[in-house]
Amino acid sequence: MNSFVEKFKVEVSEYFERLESRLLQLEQDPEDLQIIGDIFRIMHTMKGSGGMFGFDLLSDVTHDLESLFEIFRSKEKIVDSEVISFTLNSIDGLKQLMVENPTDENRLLASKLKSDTLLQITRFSQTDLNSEIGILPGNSAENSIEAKQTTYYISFVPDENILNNGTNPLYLIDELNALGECNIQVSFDRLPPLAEIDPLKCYISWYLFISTSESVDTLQDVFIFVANSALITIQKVANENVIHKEAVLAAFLNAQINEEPWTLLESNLQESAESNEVDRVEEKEIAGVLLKSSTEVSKNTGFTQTTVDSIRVDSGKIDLYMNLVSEFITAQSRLEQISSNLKNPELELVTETFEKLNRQLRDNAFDMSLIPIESLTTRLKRLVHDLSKSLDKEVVLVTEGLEAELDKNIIEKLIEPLLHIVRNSMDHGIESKSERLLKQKNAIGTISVKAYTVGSYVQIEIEDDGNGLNVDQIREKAIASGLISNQENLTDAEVCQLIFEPGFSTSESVNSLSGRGTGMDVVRNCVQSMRGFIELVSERDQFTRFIIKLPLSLSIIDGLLVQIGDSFYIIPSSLVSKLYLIKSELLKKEINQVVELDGVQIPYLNLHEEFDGDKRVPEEQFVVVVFYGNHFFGLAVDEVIREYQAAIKPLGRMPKSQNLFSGASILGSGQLALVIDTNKLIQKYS
Amino acid sequence: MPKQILIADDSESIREILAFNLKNAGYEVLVAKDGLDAMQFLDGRSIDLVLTDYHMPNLSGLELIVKVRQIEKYKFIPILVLTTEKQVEIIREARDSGATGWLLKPFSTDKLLQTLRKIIR
Repeated sequence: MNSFVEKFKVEVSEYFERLESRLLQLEQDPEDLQIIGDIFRIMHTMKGSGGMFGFDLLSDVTHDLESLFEIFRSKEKIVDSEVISFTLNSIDGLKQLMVENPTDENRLLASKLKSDTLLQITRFSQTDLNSEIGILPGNSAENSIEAKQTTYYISFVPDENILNNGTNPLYLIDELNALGECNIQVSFDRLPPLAEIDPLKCYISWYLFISTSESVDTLQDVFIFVANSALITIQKVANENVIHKEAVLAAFLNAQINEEPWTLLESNLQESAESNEVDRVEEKEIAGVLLKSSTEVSKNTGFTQTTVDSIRVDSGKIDLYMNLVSEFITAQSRLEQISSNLKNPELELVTETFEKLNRQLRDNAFDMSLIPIESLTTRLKRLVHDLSKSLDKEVVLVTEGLEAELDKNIIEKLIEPLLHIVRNSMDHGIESKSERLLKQKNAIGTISVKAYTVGSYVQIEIEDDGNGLNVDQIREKAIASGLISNQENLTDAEVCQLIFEPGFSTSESVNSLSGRGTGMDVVRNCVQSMRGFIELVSERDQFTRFIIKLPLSLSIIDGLLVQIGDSFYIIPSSLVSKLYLIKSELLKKEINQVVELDGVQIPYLNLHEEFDGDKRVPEEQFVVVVFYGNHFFGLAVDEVIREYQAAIKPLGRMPKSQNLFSGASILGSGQLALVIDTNKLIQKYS
Repeated sequence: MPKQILIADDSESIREILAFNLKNAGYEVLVAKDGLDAMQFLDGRSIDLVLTDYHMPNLSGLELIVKVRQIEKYKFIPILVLTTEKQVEIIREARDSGATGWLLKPFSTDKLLQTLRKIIR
């Protein structure tokens, strides 16, 4: 049962996300019946399923929300922005109600949500709310435990076509028979001559007395499915079991035939199982709209809704699969090694095929663990929507290329940094409406999120057309807080990167600038922890653009395979800027640990010394220049072997105590290559 | 021969809990994720009951019923609609489309099995 509940929770979180996204679309196009229909349908599903899995509060509240949207679905009224905001807030509330054992607090929240929803409903409807709620014959009175027997007379005259609905009337008689003692008569009155008999029709009727302790409701419940395709009457004969009192039964039937009221024992109770006639043309029409909405792609929104054939697989299984594939890659490079040593043509042929298949397998595995960045947009749109209201700014979020895919784990970690950046853009980047008009800008601000795939990396750019960074102020502040000395001659672009420095952020948020710096070091740390890279470009009064570069996956990366002494290491390619081959002599002479490359002074670290102690130094060494925050940093290694697609394995418990290496990969030769975390390494040694 | 039940519901969790409970009760179960998906099972094999959600993408519950009824082999099989609506018109519409009966969500396993007994043996 628990696994069902877990699955349901996952499902509901997807419903929430879809609701949010549809609501935001609806705000753009409040009369779009498809969107409304879709929202209605999601709420509807949540209501029904919530009850099935014991989330009654969820079910309760969504029931009311559904009624609210019924108003818009039936085109009575048009959605306004208050409803959208209200519903979005309610969704936040609903998320808190997703608990298996609700507390009083949860219940309180639920009833608050319900009463708020009713307020919204009354705001829109002058019409009678209850008119839409049909009355269904009550479904059983299981609580009545009185063993008192009552005798009823039931006539059941099915419509001739009752079989067409898959009904077997005999089962119903069986069911009655199980409820009490019966005296059943079958009538063939309607049976036509043999030649006219249609074997697919039902010509038989049943008349019966039943003595039971069950209530009338329970008896009616037996016929609940056929209430409209049969004539059913249930009448009380006596408040006791008279089933064996032939005289009473005969008297009753006599009264029936003569249409006299049955007065022998109390009054007779005529129960009609007929239901209200309700016009249902409208309902059909709505069903049509609903159907369309679920098959058509949303228009006018810039992002398409992807409802494709898919199965849900536990992400742990995908991880395991990826892990196996990377084992496979390792085994295959070992095979290649052996094959090239043996020079056996047949083996080489097999190895080649093996390699091809392996590559496909790897790409396929890769593909499976990737999800589109688009999955983040709802959260971003929501944030922009909420902040627009509270900051009284009008801002649109434009997205582009978000179908680019990234590893699920990366996407999850990426959410917070992106939200942080967008929050800052909303808060400090985009100016107030009046200020924007003063600057002759469009009163509506724009935040754009774009993504591109570049090789095995994804580049994400978040840009706002707000007031940009004030370079002079940042410079002053950096000097004041001791981040840089006033002698340092940094370009404007370099100054901008200072906001990522841990020391830069302060609590004073008196001007737009200090706020911009808040917590940016956290954002950078997060990106770096995924072997990514972040930088910032800004033009005063024009724009601020954050550029984030991330590997597609955390488990397979493009790396540069380098050798130091006898050991191999991998430096993630995304971080590598340039390679230089220089004489080791040059590095030896340096005391400041700074080397001049292409006329630029670059601090460096000689990994030969750090990792390999005093073994023989090659005559020439490579300097791998990597990005380090907003600087370049050189790493001197003995040899650069080649680019290498590395299947990265986590390190065991023991090596985890260090943080210079973020993982390891096994080379074809069976040797181990450690993946260098350049940021940590440089931090530690410089 | 255990009875074979075809479930069509677009909610995975509902599908699974239904399948689980029905299997436990000794039924054999086929599972489809919407009406269209359900149609592929109606290939002449023996099916004793269809249990379908009302609201589904691609092919709704009612449309599915209409299609099922058009197939000679399944013209008279019992079909139950799962719905949250207590509205009479919806139920009437379901009956008109050819449904045998309906079940109001949420329902307990007992209620489900009890209802099944109304329409299959």
